Amino acid sequence: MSERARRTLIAWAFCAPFVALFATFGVWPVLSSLSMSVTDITARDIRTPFSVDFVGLAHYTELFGDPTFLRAALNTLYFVAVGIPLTMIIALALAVALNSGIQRAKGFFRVAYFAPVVTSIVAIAVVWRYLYEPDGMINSVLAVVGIHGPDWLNDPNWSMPALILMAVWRHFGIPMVIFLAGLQSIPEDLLEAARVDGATRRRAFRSITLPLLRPTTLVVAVLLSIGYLQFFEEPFVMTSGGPLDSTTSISYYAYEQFGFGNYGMASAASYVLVAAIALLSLLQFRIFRAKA
Amino acid sequence: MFTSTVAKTLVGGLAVALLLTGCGRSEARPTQAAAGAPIDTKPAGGSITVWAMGTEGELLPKLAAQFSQANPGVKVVVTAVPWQDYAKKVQTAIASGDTPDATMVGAVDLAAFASTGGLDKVPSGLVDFSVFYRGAVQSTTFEGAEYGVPWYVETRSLFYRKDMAQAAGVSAPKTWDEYGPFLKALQKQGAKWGLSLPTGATGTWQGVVPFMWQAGAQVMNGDGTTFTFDTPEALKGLEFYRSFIASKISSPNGPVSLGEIEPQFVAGSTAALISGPWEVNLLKSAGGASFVDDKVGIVPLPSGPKSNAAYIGGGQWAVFKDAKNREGAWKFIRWMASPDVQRTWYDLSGDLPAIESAWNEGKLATDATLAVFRTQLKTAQPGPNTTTWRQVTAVLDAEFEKVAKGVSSPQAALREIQKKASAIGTGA
Repeated sequence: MSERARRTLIAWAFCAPFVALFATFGVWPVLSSLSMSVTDITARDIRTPFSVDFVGLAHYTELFGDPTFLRAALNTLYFVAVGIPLTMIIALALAVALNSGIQRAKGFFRVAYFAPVVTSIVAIAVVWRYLYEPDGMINSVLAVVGIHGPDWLNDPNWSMPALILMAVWRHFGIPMVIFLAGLQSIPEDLLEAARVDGATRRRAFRSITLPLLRPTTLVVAVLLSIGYLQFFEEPFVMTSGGPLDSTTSISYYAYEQFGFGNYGMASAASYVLVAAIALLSLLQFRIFRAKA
Repeated sequence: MFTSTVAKTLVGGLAVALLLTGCGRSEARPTQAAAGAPIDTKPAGGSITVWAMGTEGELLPKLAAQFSQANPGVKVVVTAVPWQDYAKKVQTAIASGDTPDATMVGAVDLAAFASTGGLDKVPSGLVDFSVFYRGAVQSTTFEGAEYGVPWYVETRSLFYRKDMAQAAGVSAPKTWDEYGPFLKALQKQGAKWGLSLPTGATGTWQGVVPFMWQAGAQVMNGDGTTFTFDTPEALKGLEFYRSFIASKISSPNGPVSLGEIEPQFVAGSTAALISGPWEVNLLKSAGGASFVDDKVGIVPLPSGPKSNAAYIGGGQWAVFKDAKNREGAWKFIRWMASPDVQRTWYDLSGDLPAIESAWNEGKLATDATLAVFRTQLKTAQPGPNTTTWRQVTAVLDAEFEKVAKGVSSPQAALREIQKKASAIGTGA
């Protein structure tokens, strides 16, 4: 065996476990569900998967004629449009705060802000359901300043804001850490030079920090949109998609369809989500590239 | 996240198959025998693996130990499975062919599981189905064959604050006409809400469809080919449900999660609720044993124009086609379906026996609370037995929520339900 062949073989041997796992649990299911989305497969067929009919794009047209799905798509959009900017602003603000002042308590705050990320969603749900009760803590606090708070989780107008608030609280930890890393990589002398030139802190932040954070921002934006488009856990544990479908998301819709045994419909809904994620990520790359 | 094992196993080959063959579903499903092959009467042997859900899963090993005593050489291995998402677990097992021998099945799901072809038919002559409550047996058949053996049943009756009723000088309602005034009287004793009704949470239909049954509605035609929600009787039932909310007897925001209603009932802010036998223990832990003895009254549901039908649920036993110990599993189930064992199980778990004659001895025969449920069981009925019922119930829950919150009228809701249920079909 030539040296070259031997090296190639060794390289493949090292890659093989990953390739095998990725093919089995990554590629295969993706192709499977893609093929499911164009067949009439249901729970009845699970022992005889070769007996299903090809239905083309029927599930997709059916989806876009289903008011519940359209509502779910709208809800998902709502969640993404409000949730992502909110998360990014809070994450960046806290990262900047952590990066500058409060040197002593830095460790404490980093842990405190990150804790929601690693806490079980079920535990979070129990606590937040109490907070959101009509006479719960949030409304009690609002009452102090004279605001009569809504019945958060039972009011279709307020259920989504309530879940967004909870999701942002739960998810800003990782973007914050990424921003923190980005901030720490900005050379101190640039900011120093700006100060010598008489720039205010605000000016320095806008003209130096923000532009240099652009790659970081892109990463955060893409990660968040992938995560937030799959909005699922909050409605699952808090509202079961209600009241009046106001918190049903595309993921939740697909989950329900799987539960009904409508594997074809469920896969089609999932692929609508895949398309949306791909589109949004592409858009973000475009926007941030253009400016970079 | 949606590519469950089912999906993986399932459609792995499917992509290939589609490319190669462009295959089609055979139109007629093969006609099948009504019962499975009989089993012998020798003692069971070998290892029997079973899945059981919830509390049943935790307590079943105690019962299994007694079975092992009667059948030396048999070992029953119980795996406790949470009710949450157990259906997906069962379907995954069926799809992959990697199943235990037997599983407990919730009454709602039997048809869906049987339709996959993954369940074994009940062997002919295994049990006498006529000794079980009719409502329990109704949910074990699929396409003319029996796929499950009823194990325990549950149904719902009316719980109310006895002390408030006494103070108000009213006695428990027996008919729809007495229902509202009774609850209003309890409200005058300081309760914010007279009766707690479900208003959209998962399973709301189990609280609302009985009103339709009580008015004489059948939600499906006799031969199970079409849903019939758009009827005057169903409308009457739904309007009756709506009347509780419209007259402020019931909250338009009913309980969403488990354990929400008991503190309100104990505090007296909700004066009545509709629940099953398990509620007694929940109320004991929320308010103490003396609270239940002194202040809680339990009566059968008030009768509507037709009956006082309640929803019947419960657990059944099914054996998988891919079972390694088919004979052993059915023998275990046959043993569990005897009146004596059902009584033993009641003592262990508090689950109500699905066999009527099991109620003739002991606490089951003498307890006043149980007598109420026993009466209720006579008229209790399950949901229609179709593979699509679970999907239809999601429509029901959503539309009932609209009625409860005043977004939709009972007429409009029923029209919508009928339209969607027809589109979903009965799977027949």
